[in-house]
Parts: sequence; C-alpha cells; structure tokens
Amino acid sequence: MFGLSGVMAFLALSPVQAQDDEIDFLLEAFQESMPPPNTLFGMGVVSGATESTRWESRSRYRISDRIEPGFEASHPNLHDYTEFVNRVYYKLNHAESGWNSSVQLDQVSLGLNRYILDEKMYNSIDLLEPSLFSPAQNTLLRLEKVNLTKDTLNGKVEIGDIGAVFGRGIALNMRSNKIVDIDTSVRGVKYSGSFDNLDITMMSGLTNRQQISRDNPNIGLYQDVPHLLSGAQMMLYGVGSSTIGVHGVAATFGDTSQRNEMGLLRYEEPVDATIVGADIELYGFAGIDWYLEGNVFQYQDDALSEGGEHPTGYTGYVSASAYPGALVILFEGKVSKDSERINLYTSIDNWEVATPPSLEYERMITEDSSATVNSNDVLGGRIRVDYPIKPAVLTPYTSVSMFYDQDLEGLHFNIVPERIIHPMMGVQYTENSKVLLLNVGYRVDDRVSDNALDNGVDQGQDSLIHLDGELSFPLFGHEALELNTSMWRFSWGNNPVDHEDFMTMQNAVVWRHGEDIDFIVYQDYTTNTQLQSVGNITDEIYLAGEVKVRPSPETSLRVLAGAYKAGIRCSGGQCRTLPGFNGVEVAYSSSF
Amino acid sequence: MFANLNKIVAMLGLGLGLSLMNPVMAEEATANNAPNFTLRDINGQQVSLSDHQGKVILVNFWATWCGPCQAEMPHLQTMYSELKDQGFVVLSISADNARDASKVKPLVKRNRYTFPVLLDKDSSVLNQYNPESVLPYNVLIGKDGNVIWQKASYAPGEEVELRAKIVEALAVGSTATPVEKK
Repeated sequence: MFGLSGVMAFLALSPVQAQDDEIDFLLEAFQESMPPPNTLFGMGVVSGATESTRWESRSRYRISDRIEPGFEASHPNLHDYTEFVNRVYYKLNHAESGWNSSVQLDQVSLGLNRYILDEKMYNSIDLLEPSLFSPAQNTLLRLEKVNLTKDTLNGKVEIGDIGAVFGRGIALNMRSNKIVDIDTSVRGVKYSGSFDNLDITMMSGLTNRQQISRDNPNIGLYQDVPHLLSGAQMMLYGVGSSTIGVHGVAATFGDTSQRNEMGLLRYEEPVDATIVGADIELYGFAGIDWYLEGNVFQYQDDALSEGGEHPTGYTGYVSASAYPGALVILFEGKVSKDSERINLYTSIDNWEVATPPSLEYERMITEDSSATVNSNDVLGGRIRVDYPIKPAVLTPYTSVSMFYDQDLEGLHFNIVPERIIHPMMGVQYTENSKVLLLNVGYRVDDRVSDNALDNGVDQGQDSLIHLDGELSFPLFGHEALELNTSMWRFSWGNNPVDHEDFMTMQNAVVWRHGEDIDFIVYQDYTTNTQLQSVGNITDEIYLAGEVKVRPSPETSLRVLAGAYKAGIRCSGGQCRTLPGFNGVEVAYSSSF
Repeated sequence: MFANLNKIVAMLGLGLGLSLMNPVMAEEATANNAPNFTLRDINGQQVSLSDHQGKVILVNFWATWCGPCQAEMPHLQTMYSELKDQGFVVLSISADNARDASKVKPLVKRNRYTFPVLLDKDSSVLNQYNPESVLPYNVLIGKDGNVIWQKASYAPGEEVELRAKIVEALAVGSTATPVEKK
C-alpha cells in the first residue's frame, strides 16, 4: 500500500517534472490511499466510521368516496388529496471504537386538501390536531428515532430509542412492527451485558410512538402521551441443559390530559402497574424442548382496576416440541386472566406494551376473533404436527387449536363465553423454482349457554372457513408466475347487533420478468359490511395493478394504481384495522 | 506539462488537506460496514458476527410466517452445505416476535437446516440492517468485514445470483478458486 505520506513525499521530490505515466501512477496510488467508500475521514470521534443512508418515499393520490352534499355533480373529486411521505434512515458505524448510531427522520405533507366554498377556505383533510405542533399546517417533519449504541466490556449501552422484550413478550414487548405500521420505542437508556452464562438487561425510558405512518393515511396526527416503562431481566444459560430467566417491569402511565406535559414528570408519579415473571427453557428434556413462563400483573392504578378493586392478573405459557421419527410436534398452551389490562392506556394510541402469544392463525383474524387475541380471560392451546415426507421439499401438516374464552367485554360480540375449536391442515412444497404453500381451516366459536346471561336463549355459534395459498413456478426463460390467494367465509350466527355473514377474497397474480421487474394484478372482493371502503369496479370488487422495478439490489421503484379493500390485519399479536385505498401510489426506496 | 498542472495542484491541495486532517488515516482506516451483533441461537448459545471474521458471511433475515422465506431457505441450506468448507457461513436470523419464538426450532428441525439460527426477539439487529423490515432480507459480508451485497425479498430463481455473489466473494484473496457446483 502506497500510503498518503508516500504520495506527499513523491510529490515533494518531483512536483512539476512528472510525466503522464507518473501522474497516472500517482493518481492510482492516491486512490489507494483514499478511505473506502462511505467511510468518514478527518479528526474527531467520527473519523473512520462508515455511514449508510436509506431513503423511502411514498407519493399518493387518494381518491375519496366522501361527497359534499350539493356538490356531487359539479365537484365529484372535491375530497381527493395527495400525500407525500419521506423517511430517511442515517447510520454511522464505528467498528473499531465499538459504537454505532442511527436516526430516523420522517416527513409527511398533504396537498390538494383545501377548497374554497362561499369565499371561505376549508380543509377537507386535516393532517394535524392541535396537540401536535408544526410551523406548516399541511407538513410535519419529525425526528422519530435516535439511537446511540456503545460496546462496553461485557455488553453494550444504548441511549435513545430502544426496544425491549422480556420472555415471550408477555411482560414487555416493545419492538417495531412494520407490518402493521407500529413502531413504539422506549426513549431512554438500556444496558445489555453478558457475564459468562449470565445475561442481564436493564432499561428505563418514556414511550415514543412513531407519529408518521409510511403506508397508512396520515390524518389527524396528534401528540401521544408518554408513559414510563422500566424493567430488568436476568437470563442464566447453561444450567445443565436449560436456561432460567426472571424479569420485572414497572409502568407509570399518563392519561390523555397529560399529552403535552413533559414526560419526565412520570418519574415523579407513583407506579401504576408492576409485572414480575420467570421462565425456564429445557433443551431435550425427556426428548422434548420445553419452554415455560409465568407472569403476575399487579395494578395499583384505579383506572386499570375493576370496581375499585385492584385485581391481580396472570398469564402462563408453555410450549413443548418433540421430534419422534420423522414427525415434528409442537404444542403451545396458555392461560391468561386480567393481563390485557396493562394495555388499557396505550391501545387507544394503537399500540400495546405487552402481547402474549395468542396461538391464533393471524392471517385469518376477523373482527370477531381479534377479541380472543386480546382476551382478558382465556384458556387454550394448539398442537401442530408436521410430517416431512422429504425435508425442506414436501411437508404436510395438521393442527388444532382449542380455547375457552370467558371475556365478554371490549370487542367481544358475544354475551356468553365461547368454546372455540379451530382445526387446520396444509402443505409446504418447495423444489427447484417451484413453490406451493397451502393452508385451509375451519373455526367454530360455540357460545356456551348460561341462563344468567342469555335468559335461556340459545346463542348458537359463529364460524369461519378459510383457505390461503401461494403457488409460484417458472414459465420459460427468465419468466415466472406467482399466484396468491386468501379467502374466507364468516357466519355470525345469532348476534345482538345483526351483523351480516360475509365472504372475502384477496387475490394476486404476479408475472416476474427476470429478477428485476414484476407486473402484479390485485383483486379483492368482500361483502363485509363492517369495512369502511368501497370497491372501484363494483361496491364489492376492487382491482389494482402494480409494476415493481429493481434497478439495483439497493433500489426499488413501485407504481400502483387502483383500489384495495380495508380490513383488519394482525401481526405479532397486534391488530390494526387498516383503511382501504383508491388512487395511485409511487413508492421509491434506495440505499446509498 | 500545463495540461497536467490542474491534476498536480488538485492532488497537492487534496493531499495536504487530508494529511492535515488525519495524517495516519490511510494506514489505520479499515472499512467495516457490517455492524457487529451478538445474539443467542435456538439452543441458547451466544453467537457474534465477529466470531466469523475472515469468512464470507450471509446474514439472512426471515420469519416463520413468511412464505418467500420458506421458499428461499432450502437454497441457503444447499449453498451452506456445499461451500462451508471454503469459508462460507450462513447466519440465519429469525425476525419472529418473541411470542412466536417457540415456532422457530420446530421449523428448523423439520427442514433439517444445519446453519446457525439466531433469535432477534427485540428486532435490534433487524432494525440495524434492514429498517424497512422487508423479509426475507440478505446481507452478504466479505472476508474483510464489508457489506458487499444486500437484497430484500426473494423470488424463485434468484438463488442463482446469490450463489454467484457468494462464489465471487469466496474467490477474493483466495489462492484456490472455489469449486463451482451446479
């Protein structure tokens, strides 16, 4: 390596007489002495750090089905508007010094959302509510996340926006969930350290909900209430063939009247809820991998209590996986009582502090079954058996879930407890470039008669039959076809609000032209009257087309035109009712 | 001579500026775009990226609920089996929520995967490498610790390009040419 000092010495000896080949040699040598791409140079702490940037951009034209009485004919698109969302991640990594940092900067702007009526200007869509300040009425720029991580002798310290998960997420599950556009971090400090076989995690901070949605409509954004979360977890590994852990969490919640108060005031307030738990993981004990966890919830806050009493909640969870012969068997069971109360303050802001395993098939969560996911009184289990006929190539499976849900409050539509049974079967086939994934199931929520609650009137049952699958195979040359489908039919049975049974389908056909271009047609169909969206072909049929282009592995461009339906979507135990879309969207992502 | 004067002046100026800022920068700078991480695997063992320094590493983010991930992973197993003796390692990171962690090992068992499978329960590593959280997501790290290729999503057939990148990375700094198997 011809170092920089060498270049300088060479230049000093013969600065003017250099011939072309010498110049080229010097340039080459100089190039070699340059820092590698994306590496910062100079003096100071960032010298030698590598940087990376990712930019995600969404531009949408949203066609609104909202009408203004008297103006339907003359101004049919009065409430259409545009939405521009930009998200930039910037990261610095200094491997030698053992630190890295990241920031996430979000920006959203609305356009075409104003109109003049009788010489007065109106906003058809408001981006912001008064609690969230921005100098521009239709633009919000926000430093959403900041993180600095520094390696220490036995672990690392994080300052800024951090995630924290204890056990199976029953006591604390603070992590980003991009699938449903939820990213609530804890803005504070976290230490994670390893001392031989002992891992210790300690954290404390105020919750920081991501305000700007990348994929969902940004309407009426408001300042959320910061809550205080503190916790610690200790995990002891290698105790024989097991791992033992204990954890504890303390929470102090703010209420809506404290939106614009300084969050640090929470440290002055009494603790509203505490959770303590323990878990043990046994590897290969009696030929079975075990995991057992128990948590106790204590509520000190009146709002989290019932009728002035401060109840004690609990959640127990067990999983056991065995591998007899070619079979793979997984059993999961849980019992949960009054543990969902911990999410009372935060669920109004669309996120949750803790999300215990629901054991549900989340792709097929309906308005009815989402209540079971968040039930305050449920007992149940699921067993799944896989039989790999040819491992990693062909594996059929069957599973059955059973729950007894006694919670009748919140989103529950039933007035008596329900006994739920949900058998499923499916197959996974992947060979060469052919893929088939198929799942079918039938779920029955049988309402258990209780004279005190139903006055002797049989409440019947609701039922769900569902199928989802993915099939992809090569056609010719570099062309390939992929078919995706999911469909379900839900019957409400007897219900006090006379909900109508419905049928829903979501289909997609993808034509892959080589590795870098996809042509996609989406088609949705639903007769679900609970949804707040209308199709663009008929009221029930939605159609959209999309082109995806990947000019390089780091860059993608996507253009979508058409409509897709609204619907409930669940991921990681968090459910969100996502609105439908009708219009045009251009999405761009790139790393550099 | 005058035609080259601009080059000379530019080099002098830039060189002087750089040397004033950090005279030993050129000798000390070692690019490492791949942030180190430490996670526990499905058997409770601690695994760090830095444990595999000097190897070609494929960091593969996936989840049990992700269909394209399931389609891609058998190909990763094939590549791992064929190329691990040449210094190739797969660090497969499950991006499953902690509440789904019990599903990970049974999936690995039924597919007979032998590469290390790590659990990223609080998404800290996922956020670091793949803030958009698109799955699957592959990051190929060269022997020098630099990220040399990364890509989101998977479609059947794309494993061919990935394999070519891995073979190319293995060839860097090697006296022997990696064996190309079809």
